[in-house]
Order: sequence, then structure tokens, then C-alpha cells
Amino acid sequence: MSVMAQSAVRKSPRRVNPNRFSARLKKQPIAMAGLVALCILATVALIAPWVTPYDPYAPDLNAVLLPPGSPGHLFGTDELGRDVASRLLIGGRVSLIAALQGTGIALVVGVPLGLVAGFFGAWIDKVIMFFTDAVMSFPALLLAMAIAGILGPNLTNAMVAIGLSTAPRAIRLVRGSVLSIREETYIEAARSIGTPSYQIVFRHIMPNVLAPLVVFAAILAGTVMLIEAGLSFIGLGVQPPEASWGAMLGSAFNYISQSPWLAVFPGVCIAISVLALNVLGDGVRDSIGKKVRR
Amino acid sequence: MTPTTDLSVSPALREPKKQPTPAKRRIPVAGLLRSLGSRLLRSLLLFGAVTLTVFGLSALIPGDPAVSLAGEGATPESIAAIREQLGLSKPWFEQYFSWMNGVVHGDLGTSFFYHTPVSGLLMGRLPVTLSLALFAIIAAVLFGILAGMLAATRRGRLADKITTVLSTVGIATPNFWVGMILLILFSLNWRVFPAVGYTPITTNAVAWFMHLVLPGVALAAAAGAELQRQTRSSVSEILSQDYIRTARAQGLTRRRVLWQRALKNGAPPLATVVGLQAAVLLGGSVVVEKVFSIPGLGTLAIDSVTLKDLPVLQGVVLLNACFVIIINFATDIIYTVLNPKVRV
Amino acid sequence: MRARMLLGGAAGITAVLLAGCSASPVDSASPDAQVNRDATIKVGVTNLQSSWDVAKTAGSLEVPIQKMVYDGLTGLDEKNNVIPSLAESWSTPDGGKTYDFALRAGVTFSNGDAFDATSAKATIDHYLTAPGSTVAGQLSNVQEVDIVSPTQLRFVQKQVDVSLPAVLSDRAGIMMDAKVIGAGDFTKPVGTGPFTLESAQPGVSITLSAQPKYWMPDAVRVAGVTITQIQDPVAMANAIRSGSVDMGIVGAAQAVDLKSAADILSTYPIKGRQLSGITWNPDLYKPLADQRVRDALNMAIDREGIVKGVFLGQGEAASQFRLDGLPGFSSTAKPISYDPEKAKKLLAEAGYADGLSFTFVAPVKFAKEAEAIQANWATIGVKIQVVNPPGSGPAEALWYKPSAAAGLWSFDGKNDLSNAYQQMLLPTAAYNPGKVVDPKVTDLIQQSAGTADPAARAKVFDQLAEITSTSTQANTPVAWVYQVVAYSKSLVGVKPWASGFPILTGVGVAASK
Repeated sequence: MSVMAQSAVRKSPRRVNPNRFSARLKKQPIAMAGLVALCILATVALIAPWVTPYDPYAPDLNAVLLPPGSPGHLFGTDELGRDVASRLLIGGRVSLIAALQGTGIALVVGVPLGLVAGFFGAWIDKVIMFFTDAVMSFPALLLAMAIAGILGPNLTNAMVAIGLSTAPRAIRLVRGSVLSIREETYIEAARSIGTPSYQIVFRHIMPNVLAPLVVFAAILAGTVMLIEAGLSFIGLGVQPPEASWGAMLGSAFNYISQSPWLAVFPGVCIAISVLALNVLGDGVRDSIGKKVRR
Repeated sequence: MTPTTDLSVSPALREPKKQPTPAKRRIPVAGLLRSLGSRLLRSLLLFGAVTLTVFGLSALIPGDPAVSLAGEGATPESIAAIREQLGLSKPWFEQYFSWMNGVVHGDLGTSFFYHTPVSGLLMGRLPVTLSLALFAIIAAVLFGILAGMLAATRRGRLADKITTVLSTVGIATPNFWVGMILLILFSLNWRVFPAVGYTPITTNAVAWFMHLVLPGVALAAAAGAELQRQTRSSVSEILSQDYIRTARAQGLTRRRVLWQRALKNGAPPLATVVGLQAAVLLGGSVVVEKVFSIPGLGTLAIDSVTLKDLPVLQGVVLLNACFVIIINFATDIIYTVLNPKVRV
Repeated sequence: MRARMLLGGAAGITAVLLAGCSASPVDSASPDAQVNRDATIKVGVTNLQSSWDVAKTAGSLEVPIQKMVYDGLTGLDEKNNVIPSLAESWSTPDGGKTYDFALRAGVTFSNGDAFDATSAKATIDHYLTAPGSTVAGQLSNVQEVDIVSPTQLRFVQKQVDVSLPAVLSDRAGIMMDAKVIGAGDFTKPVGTGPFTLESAQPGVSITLSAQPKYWMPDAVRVAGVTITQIQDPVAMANAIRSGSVDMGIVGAAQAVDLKSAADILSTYPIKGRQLSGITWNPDLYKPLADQRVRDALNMAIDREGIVKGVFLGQGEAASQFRLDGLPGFSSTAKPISYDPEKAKKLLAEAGYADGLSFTFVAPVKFAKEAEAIQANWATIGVKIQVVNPPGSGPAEALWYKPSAAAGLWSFDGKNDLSNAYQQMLLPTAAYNPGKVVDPKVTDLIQQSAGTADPAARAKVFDQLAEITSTSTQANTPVAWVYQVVAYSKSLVGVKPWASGFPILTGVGVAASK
């Protein structure tokens, strides 16, 4: 993922023209499809609590594991007799919020550190990059386990863990983009006329970092969803009765050959969301600069 | 975790690319050695930081190992006795230094739960995870590069579309989900491959291979997809560049141009991706190991968390971190040798 | 403390199999001609043994595996009756304070040493005095062990307790070789059991081979056994279905699922060996000190629904610490009725009409049950936050370093009923962190410990069950959860044995036709 994001950096031009950008993006049907899919998902997530046909948390122990198409339950019921359709809706909300949280934390931590490391260089860069490498030497899972363990198991803490363990990627990306333009003449010029550092950063550097960052964020959000699914699979994700697609997938595995649809629906939902984020990210990257267009 | 959830990008990737250097391609040995030396030093420092973090993290994981060990019918007195016996009542820095002293001398301590040396446990599990990771890397590289080349040279045609759809889906699906589906189809329904476990290659090479196929493919799916995309884009970018056009104008055949130039120039980023994926696969096999009940390092890590077997947990994580450091180091070197434009 | 509460931990679910714990003659229903004596049986377990030094093992879950190599002094049959093993008989001259065990003569260890009272005493002394011994708790009432003669061993207890023979059917009665104990090296276990250890990889697998000179020769009908650790229940079911292992214990969902493979597999449920229940801790949440609050919560649990929905019918609603049909179960005691309306009223009466809110801990294997209880309680306005820490986390959070006001535990239902009550309900009990007291109950429990006569004991247990099943004490049973054994149809001689572990005694592999 970061490789893809990285290639976006390499290829990004000085500035992005918003009009040309949207024109180019509109010409990419796949990316547009991704955008539309995401908009639908976001809308569903927003209104989910008010449109679920059943209470997604209310079990009906007399109607467990009903197959899809059962009367009243379009997508069937789960192992506690809860309506799968309702849980998918509410679970989508939880998954999307989780993806936003994780990505947000990674960016909030990663972007400033990356800017500082790239812009000021010298020892502060060395220190930041050293810790980045150290964090990256650990398996993500263990890091997440430890953080979730220390803070207590719930979705927000799991996302803090994922955010912190993916932040180094944001640091590297931002630092790389900053390094690639730091020595440009217009920045040198700004510096020579005494423009303060923060102004240089916000006026000249940030706009250039922004484009690859958007690509990165889209793809990272997909990755975070996948990590959330993995964490839930080993029981570190959302806590019951809360549902996320990952958690639904996790508990569905106990019924995999008996009631495979339980794993199919959330699996497909995850795949579509990640896919949408990825193609959108690719589309954005391809719309940024002429070099990338093919 | 899927391989796309990597945490380890080789440092080579974050270095600014100094754009075109003179065409002269000569490897300056002294410079190479110097950069090698500084990277080695950095790796050693990293190792130090990692040991401290490993120790700190495992100590912070909640739960008292003594409660776990005292087992059923424990009393406060028996728990206290076990704490004392394990040295858990000493201050943390004393525990760290005695552990570190052991690590430096190659002694990772004794498992709280199994009462055997940690190094022995690790050595028992290492071949399993290495086999799995190697299988996955080879499968991913084979698929990634071949399909990527195919797609790049046949842009927009059916082969391109099929491989691209495959890799897009591969990236977007959780690897344990892929594993589970493979397991249902190939193991439970068609009974082609075994459903669980592992056989050492020394016991039975065929059984070894058969046990690795399903988890290996599940683990390779995302890495292979990533490699396919990377190969496709870097090869097609190179194919569109002037010097390739020049070479073709000079009468070199398309295939020769492709293999000689494109792959050669595309190799450095590819090497990085392979290295990156290799590092990820080691840490990322945890969930796949669980699905297929494979007794590898990932399973050992989860078990040691469950059992609060701190010495084992520290050993697994330390081993994994060392692998990542070594792989990154090696990737850097390969990258530098393949692409002399980059210098630290 | 002689507890056998299994809360997650090394626990997980239960290990399968056991050989030689029963001295009953082997059922010779399947003639020997049908059995391939060179075959090896492959068994899957959720947890392998942690150490061959029994004094260092983490729990009773390891007993089945330990007893493949070692033998116990006594064993348990399917009705929880204590049966002879290395001890052929026992008697108490003083009504339950001193016990004399007559040891089986002519039994040798796998290294050739004779089994006698010296070995037995050395083993018990090892359990009592080894630093950090995890078995010492089971023997806490034992004052000393004396050698009366080479085949006669005497236990002197601190106070009257008639459960000693039952206690010795567990870890505390497993017999090791005096020489090995003296040398302190347990990597190569030496026992009198039906198998000897060939090789082991901790946490992965062990390979055992038949011990040709086993004292109960017909017990072993295979050349060896390979035991593989498979922790994930889905993986276990897959392994059994695909033939990677011949036998294993699966969860309820997998059990239902495996019925579709009835052409190659057989299943049978072990019934009285896994009880789930709740500990209440008023120390951490004041309202729980009120009897009405505990009763309200208790009667708001839809036990039948949980059995049907969560465990897919592979279990029974529980209101006592014994399964219906086993000695000690009281048929006169009425279970508390499921009545959310009455529960709401009780809560309001107690002054909690606005509901309650507390932390509830549950082992991972009962996470679904906890979810169902959470939903049940939500209907009477009680909100709980459920946490499922791995391993021994729930035990720690409930009893040892209490951090949860209530939570689910798992109990193997195997130990003496009086012991079970002592563990669970006495104000000083380890599993009563909030010191919930009912003087009448305390009285009856103390009475049961000192009563040796079975009929008199049964009467005390009846009274206990009548009180505790309707008035909620420190611990409340919720459901018996069956452990379903699934095994390949290629195995012969597998007996649906309700007592806890499918035994490998007499099990063989059918000779191919």
C-alpha cells in the first residue's frame, strides 16, 4: 500500500489544479464507481440507526441461524437470532467509523511528525525516523494486542492501536514528499526573504503533500478495515453486543460450513468497501498529474 | 492481518530520489561500504531499542502470569509463592537487565508454562513459519511478476483485465477469509489438501508441501496482488519511456527489450516490495496459522499471550523484530547495489 | 482448597481421552480380529499438558493426558463414583479423618521400578512440598502420608473430609516414580500407565507408544497415539472431518455441523462435565449485596433460550451444581423460574427501578452466552459491559484480583459435591470474593462435609439445593454445556462414556477389510 502511495509522491507535480483534477477523475469510470459506492456506504452508515428493520442487538433465541430469505429476515438471522440485515447496516456504521478513527489517528500523529522530520531534518529527523523504524519492527498484531490490553478492549482503543501502528507509514510518506520539494527554488526563495517556517510549511509544502496524502488516506482506510477484521477474528475488536463487519465475520467462522451466508455478507461488504477505497485512491492518484495518466 | 497491513517499509523507500544522475554506472566500493557500515550501526541501535520495547510491552500486557500458572484452586499464598519463584516480584529494571544479559548470551530464558528453554521452543516453531512464509513469498513473486508482466504487455486486453480483477479482489479481501474458503473447497469438500497442521520436510516432503499449499496461497494472495499491481505499473511506465522506444527503434525485439531493460530497471522497486512483503508475511501469518491450526511462531505468540508466558512472548516478538531489521537491512543493500543512484 | 473451577486459562475447552483410569474390565464387544494392533490413533486436544511434573501443571484439564502415561490412585466412573485404579480398595477407620489405601501389587513403572507405598508417599510428599506446587491446594487438608506396608498407604487429614478418594482421582492422585522425583528431571516421564512417551514438542504434539507390560493388558489395542494440539474449535472440526485426526472434542456449533458428515463420523455428548455459572461480587457493586437484586438478575436469565439458541440444544438449563440424573442432584428442588416481569418488580422494590449498570466478565468460550445474558438483562433495564479477556483473565477479574462485579465461569462438575458447595458458597470460599453469606447454607455445607453415610448426605444435598436454586447465593449455575466428542467411524470400541473423558481404554482402529 505504502508503495503505491509512494509512487504517487514520486509522480506528483507541483500543484494540483482542482478543475482539471475533477475533470480527469470524472473520466475514470472505475474510480467514479468507487466514489459512488463510498457515498452510498456513508449515507447508509449515517442513517443506519433509524432504518434498521429490527433492533440489531435484540436476540431471538427461538429463531437462530435462519437462512437468507426467511420470512421477515431478508438476510437471515445470526447465531443469537438477530437480524443479519440490521446488523450489516449498523455494522457498516461501526466499521466505517472505525476506519475513519484509525486513519484519522494515523494522520494526526503521522502528518505533523513527518512534516517536522522532513522540513527541519538534522537530528530531529534522525530521532523521529529511528522511532518510526523501531515501531515498524514489531508485528502489527502484537502492537495492537498490547495497546488494546493496556487501554482495555474496545473498538476505539483498538483503533488507537491501529492508528499508532500505522502512523509510521504516514510519517514516511509526508517526510518523503517534503524532502522531494524542500530544496525547490521557490521554497529557497521564500526562505531567503525571511518567511517564517510555519508559513512555508502551510503555504508551500502542505498543498504539495496533500494530494499524495489523500491517496494514502483512502488506501489506508481500506487497510484499517482489513486490520479491524483480523483483530476481530482473534477477538480484539468491538465488544458485544456491538457489531462491526469484522466482528460479524469473526463469529461467523464458528458456523462457516453450516451457515456460510453469515460469513459471506460481511465479507462481501468489507471487500466492496476496501475495493471502493482502493480504486478511488488509484483514481485520485491518476488524476493528480499528467505523468500518471495513461 | 493481510500483507497489505504492513508496518515495515524499507528505509530505501523514503529516501528522496535524486533525479537523473550522469549515465555512468559504476559502483563506488568505498561509498558502498560506508553506507553499509552506517546502516549496520543503525540496525544494532534499533535492536537495542527493540529489546527495551519488547520487554516493556510484554510487561504492560495485563494479567498476572502467576495467576495463570497457579491454575485451578489457587490461593493468594500459592500465587505469591509462584511470583517469587519466577522472579516477578523484583523491580522491572532488574528483570530487564537479567533478561537482557541472557539475550546477549543467547539465553532467552525459560518458559513459565512449559518449563523448557524459550530458544528451544522458538527453534521448534521457526521452520514452520519460515516454510510458510517462503512458500507464500515464492507464490506471490511468481504470480505477481508473471501476471504483472502479462498485464503490462497486454494492456487493456483480456489477460490484463483478468489479472487486474484478481489482484484487486486479492487486495480487498482479508487473508483469513481467503484461507477459510480455500479450506472449505479444497479440503472439506474435495479433500485434495489437508485441513490443519504441518508436517516437517524432514519427515515427509510431499506432506510438507501439501500442508503448505492452502495457507501459503491464502497468505500469498494479497502480497501477490500487490506485486502484480506494482509490476504492471512500473513495467508499463518503463515501457513508455524514451530509451525503450529508442531501443526498439534500434531493432531490438519487443521481448528482449522487455526482459532486458524493463525488468532490470524495474527491479529495485520490486526488490523493495518483495522485502517489504517478506517482513509482513512473517508477522502477518498469525491469523492464517490460527485458521489452519499451524504450530508456527504466530500460534506460539497468541498462546503465550493467553497463557501470560512472558519469556516466550518476548522471545517471539524479539525474533520477529530481528527478522524485520535484517530483511530491511538486506533490502537496502540489494536496492543500493541494483540502483547505484541511491545513496544514504 | 480443592477447587476444580476451570476458567478459560490453560483451560480452553477440555482435553479428550484418557486411558487406564478405569479398572473395569475392557468391554470385549468388538472381537480382537477386527482391530489393527499396529495402528496409531490421532487425537486432537485443545490443550496439551504443560509439564510432565504434575506438581507444575496448570489444571485438571491435563489429567487425561497425564493419565495416559501415569496412573492415578483412584478413578471416576460415569456417575462420579470413585473407582479403584492403582489403589485397589480403601477404608477409613475413624469416619473420614484417616484413610488407608491398599495398593495394587505387581505393578511396575516403565523403567522397571516397582510401584509401592514408597513411590506413592514420595509422590504425595512432592505435591505437598515442591516449591510453587499447583497440586498442594487439592491436598491442603492432608496432614501427612505414612507407609504402613509396601502395599498399604495411610493418609492422615487435618479434619474429617470424606471426599479424599474423589480428590485422588484427579491430579493429586497421579503416581510418579520416586527415583525420577529424586532426580528432578521430568522431561522423560516414567509412569505405570498404558503408554510411554516417545517424543514431544511443547504446545504442538506428543507421540506415545503402547506399554507392552501394562497391568491391564486388554486396555491397549493400538501401537501408539499421537496427540495434536488444535485450539480453534472450527479447526478441530475441520481436522476431524478431513481425517487429520481420528477424535476430538468440538463445540456446539461444530457438533451440529458435523452431523452432516454422519457417514464418516460418530458423535456423542459428554453431559455433566461443563457447567457455566455466575459469580456475584457485591464488594465491587453494592446493589448486588441485596438478595432481591441477585434474584431479579437470576430470574431474568432465559436459561432454556440460551441452551436452545446459544448452545444449539447441546446442553441443559442448570440450577444445581450437579447434572440431573447424577448422584447429588435433588429432584425435589425447584429451579428459579424465568420471569422478567417479576424481576423488574423486584428491582423496583429494591430501589433500582432505573436499572443497574456493571462490568461482566466471561471466558472467550462463553462469549455468546454472555451476549445472550446481556440481552436478557437489557429487557429489565440492566446494562452490563461484557469483557472477554483471554486465558486466566476471567478468573483473575472475578476472584484473584477482582475487577468485575459479576461474570461467567466454567466448572467441570467432577469433584465431590460437598467440595463444590464449599468452594462456591462458603463465606471464606475462594470463589466468593464478595463474601455473600447465608448462615443456613453455611451450616448445611459444613454438615455435608462431615457426613459419610450416602443417604444422610443426599438428604443434606436436597436441602442445600432447595435453598440455593431459588435464593441466589454467591454463585449461580446457568447451563450445563455438553462437550461433544466426534470420532472417526474407523475407530472401534469407543464407549459413549458420560463421565467426562472419552477413554481410549479398549479403543482400536478397525482392520481394513
